[in-house]
Amino acid sequence: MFSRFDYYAPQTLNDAFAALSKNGNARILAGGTDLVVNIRSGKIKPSLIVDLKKIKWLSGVTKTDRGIEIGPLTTMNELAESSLLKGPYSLLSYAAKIMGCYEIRNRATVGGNIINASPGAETLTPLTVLHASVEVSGNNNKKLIPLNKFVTGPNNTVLSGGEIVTKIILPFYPQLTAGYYMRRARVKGMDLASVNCSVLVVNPNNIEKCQVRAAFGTVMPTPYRSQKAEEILSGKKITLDLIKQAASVINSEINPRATSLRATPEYKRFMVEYFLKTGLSKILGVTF
Amino acid sequence: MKIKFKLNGELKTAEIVSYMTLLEVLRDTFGLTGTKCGCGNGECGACTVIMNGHPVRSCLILGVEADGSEIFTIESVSANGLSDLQKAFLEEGAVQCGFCTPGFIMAGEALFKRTQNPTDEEIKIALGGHLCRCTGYDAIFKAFKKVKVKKTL
Amino acid sequence: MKKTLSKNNFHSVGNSVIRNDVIEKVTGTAKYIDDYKFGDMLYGATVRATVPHGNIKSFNSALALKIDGVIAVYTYKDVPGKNEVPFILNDYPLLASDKVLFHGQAIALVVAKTPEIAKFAAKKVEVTYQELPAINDVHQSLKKDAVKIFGNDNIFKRYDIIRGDAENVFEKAAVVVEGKYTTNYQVHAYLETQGMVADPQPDGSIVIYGSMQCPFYIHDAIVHILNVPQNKVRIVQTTTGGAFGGKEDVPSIVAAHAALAAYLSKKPVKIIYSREEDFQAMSKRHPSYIEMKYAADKKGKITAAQVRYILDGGAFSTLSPVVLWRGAVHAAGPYNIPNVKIEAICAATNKVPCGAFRGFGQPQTTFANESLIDELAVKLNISPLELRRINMMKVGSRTATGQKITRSCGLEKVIKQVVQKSDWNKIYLSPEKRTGTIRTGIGIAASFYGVGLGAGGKYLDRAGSYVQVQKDGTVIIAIGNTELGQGVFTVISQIAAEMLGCPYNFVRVLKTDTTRVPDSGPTVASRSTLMSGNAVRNAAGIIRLRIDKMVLEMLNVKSGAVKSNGKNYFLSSDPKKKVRYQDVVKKCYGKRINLTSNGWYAGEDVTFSQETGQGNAYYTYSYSATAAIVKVNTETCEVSVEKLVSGHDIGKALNPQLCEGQIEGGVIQSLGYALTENLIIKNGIMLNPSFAGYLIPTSSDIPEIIPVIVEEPYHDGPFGAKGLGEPPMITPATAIANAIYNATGWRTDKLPVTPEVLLDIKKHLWKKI
Repeated sequence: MFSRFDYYAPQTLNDAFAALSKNGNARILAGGTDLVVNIRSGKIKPSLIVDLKKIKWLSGVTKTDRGIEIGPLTTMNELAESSLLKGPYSLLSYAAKIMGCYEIRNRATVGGNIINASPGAETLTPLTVLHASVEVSGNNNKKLIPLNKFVTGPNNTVLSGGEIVTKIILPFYPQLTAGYYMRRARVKGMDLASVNCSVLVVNPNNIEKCQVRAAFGTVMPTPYRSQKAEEILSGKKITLDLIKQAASVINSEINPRATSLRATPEYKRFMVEYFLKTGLSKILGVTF
Repeated sequence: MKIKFKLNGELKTAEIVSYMTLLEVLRDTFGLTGTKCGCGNGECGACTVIMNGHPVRSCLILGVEADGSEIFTIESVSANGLSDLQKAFLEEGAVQCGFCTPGFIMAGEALFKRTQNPTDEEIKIALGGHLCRCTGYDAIFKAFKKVKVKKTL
Repeated sequence: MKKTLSKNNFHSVGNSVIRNDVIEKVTGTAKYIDDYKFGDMLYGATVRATVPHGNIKSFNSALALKIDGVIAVYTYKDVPGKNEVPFILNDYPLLASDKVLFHGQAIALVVAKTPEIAKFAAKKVEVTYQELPAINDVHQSLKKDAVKIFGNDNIFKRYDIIRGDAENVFEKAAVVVEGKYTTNYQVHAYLETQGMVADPQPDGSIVIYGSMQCPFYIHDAIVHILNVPQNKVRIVQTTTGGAFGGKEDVPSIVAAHAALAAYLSKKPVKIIYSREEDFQAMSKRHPSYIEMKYAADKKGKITAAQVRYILDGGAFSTLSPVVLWRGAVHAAGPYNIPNVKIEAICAATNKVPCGAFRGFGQPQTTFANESLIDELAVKLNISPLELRRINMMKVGSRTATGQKITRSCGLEKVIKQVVQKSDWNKIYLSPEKRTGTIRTGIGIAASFYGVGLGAGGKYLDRAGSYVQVQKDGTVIIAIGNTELGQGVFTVISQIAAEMLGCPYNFVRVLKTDTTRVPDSGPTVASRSTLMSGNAVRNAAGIIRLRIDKMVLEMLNVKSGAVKSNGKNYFLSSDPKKKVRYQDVVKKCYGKRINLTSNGWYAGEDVTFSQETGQGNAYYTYSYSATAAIVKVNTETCEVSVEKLVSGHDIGKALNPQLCEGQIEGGVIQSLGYALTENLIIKNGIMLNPSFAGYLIPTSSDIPEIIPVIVEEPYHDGPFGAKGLGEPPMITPATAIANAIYNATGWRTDKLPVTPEVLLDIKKHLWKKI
């Protein structure tokens, strides 16, 4: 590569903050599967790379009082294989399992995936419906930000230069909860999602109290959830008619960009109903 | 920057610049040209090496990230004669132009280290991101299955 | 491993011996061009146009030259010979002088001490343009008032093939079907990008090493550009990482760039393209626009075909004229049709130049004619198989150019076997009878394929060889064709072993080098087995005569037929009388007998005339048919190909395993062409020049593939062999399109048939209802 930069791999978070505060043009390196590509293409020109991989506690999945805590440096393959990401969380491990390809999944991290915030990012819609929050650490402070506030646009988050994502936290789901992740890809081996969707149902067995969440990727700049559509589908017996209603509401709200090369806006709109129908059908065990 | 790592079983040190990829370090600094560059963006799999036991794309890793790691390249596979997978590639006609072959072999060697008897699905997952434009993959699959059969006998 | 097809009376040919370059390839020791290093080597990078059409207003390399490590920046002014790449029409400048015709066109070369510096500096060369209106497609190009970018009509080449009186037949025909079809680009996507090293020699000569199909094309190009005598240029092919036609024409540009830089800097210069650069600047399969009509009588006998076949050639013509010709000659399909009118045009646009790609115009015309045949079957209410059976070529049929097929025509057998092995009769059901969300469908497409260059390259259809038996009996061979992964060196070794009577593994084929054999034409058009195979057969046969004489002498017999089993020679009349191969060789050397020979082969003559559009276009044809079984999700419009049965009459399979490899690889390229490979060029700019943007099939996308080989020997082929490289890429895409129709009733007139295309058809059909 021609782009020149320095490289630093701190052992502690404080060392990382120190390095970041000294260099305004520093970039954090996690798995590198986006960063290295972007450096090579000239899309970004950092003067310092801060590699966090030597800070071991930044990776791994654990269960704490706060919920399921995922270190940002946890790789996709680690997510896919985690014994803690079962039940309500299984859609996240499934999304991780089909992201990129095996070698990419050995490097790509969940932190990198959400910070890169590609509109079709594999983990974004599962994390959105799971109501994940992101722990952002600065030099002397720590804050918890809901994921839907954290991601602000394609390749954009609220993260400022000196900050580091230190955890991704998934709430507990004491009630029965099930989710399903779907995507359209052009080839089966390795492709970025053309359009994707996560559906989550809390209380799928209790018609009155069931709560449906659905997030769509690539139809808007950030993962899109429609409050109105979710209301249509929640708290009552779901029928094909309701699904069609919900899909039509979503279609009236979204605005897929016409410049995407992976799928046309028409196709993405068309897939909304299909995803809703398929996701709910898989979760509820009903054919619509 | 100085890096120290285990390369194909031997401890190596090198003085490299921070902006070289691992692929460039392997090919240019160490002359290990068996690892190929098919795209430079992690999209084809030709540059696959095994790092700390896992197959990775060496074009997406900085050379400096290799410091302290253990790396195996295609050159290590036949150090004691052809591996079972390499032999199966020969017999099944799984090679045409050969440019993607080292990447497939490395993905395969890593797979057979993870699991002695991979299912078809596991083979598919291991090879999903490896592009081959010549063979249509059929013979490659047959080669992988042949190794599988051999190991179960 | 050791499988043979038909009963095989040979000890070497017909066996699936393990290819002779495989150890180096599985161990990673094979050396591709980027694996070569030369002392004091410099690196080249290309400055490319950033507008699709424009006059160059200014050029300034001062900034680039200031960068540490930059040696020089070369432009068209530095070209000592002619600033044009010699293809057919010589319209392609090596480096742009006053104007650029496509985004990505080469303008200058930067030479530097490292490839990174060269690439960085190339971006610092400042070029300004006066932008001109650009032509984005062929329709625009062919308009009378269009901006002219080639000649006075934007037409690179035009052919008319007229047989009988099609127009008159259409007027009176019982049934007429017509369709308009478009196909998109296809990218070769060989895994090794283009690359060359030019190494200047102390005696003023120059050696070029690189990834290539056609060393003799490159030889001509270097001579043309450097203005040096032919004997001062030597081209050596290095192990080549895939080609598929993409390393046929355009490597001449890469090599000439490297040669120019080396010649001027007097240092070895290496140029390796990045994947993105390779996408943007190297040739592609031509997009096509085809209007087609068939007329038939009520019983299904096709009485006339009419084709208007237009190729988008891009900014320069490269090999477009011959690509156009091959497509045109085959455009009516593999059917015996008495009245044919074919109008073929290749037009210029301000986009990347298109050139050679496996299939060479035929995948496009096949999509039109084989889709339309199915439409005709629907209209006649007979099965698509029956319609093909009624009309298909047999011995005695005539092609569109009036050529009578006199022998070696296995189309009927191919179709029969493909039908059988695809379980056609069990699976076929008309689309109206299919139900459910996921629908199965089966489709077929057939084609014929003129082997070699035929009348399109008549004077190039010859090949030389050099065969030398060493003292220990091992053999060295040089040929003019190249090993691209297809396995030609293995097959050549098998032919030599068969002819000489030695074991296959005694034979070594040298890397192709223009100084070893005379110009043997290109490695294209499925011609290498036939051409170089026959040239080696010729040389080895000459040596064998000398060997046989010695065998008789050693056996103390005056006369008799000598045979070999690959180890020993024996008398045909008395097999017990035998003598070991190596002993005979030793004896020959002892007696000062020359066991070295050159060989030569020239193809049979062809008579096609450009003026009349009639005559024998090729000396022989391969025949093929593919059946595809697909599942279509009628909700998401996604297509999953379940099975491809691809049958090929290739005369004789000299190495069945290699033949199957060609079929499997070709059908999967065609699967990509059918479904996913979708290059997008908007306003002259390529939008997806990467493997993440342009999707070739992955190992998870492949269906069950059943290769079928039919052997109808060609009398002049080595052991009866014809050609196989290209045909597997021709029919599968259309078979898939026909299978989609069979599953759903959705007829696509576009390739690739993405879910979006199917969704459009679905919506359209719903509207009609």
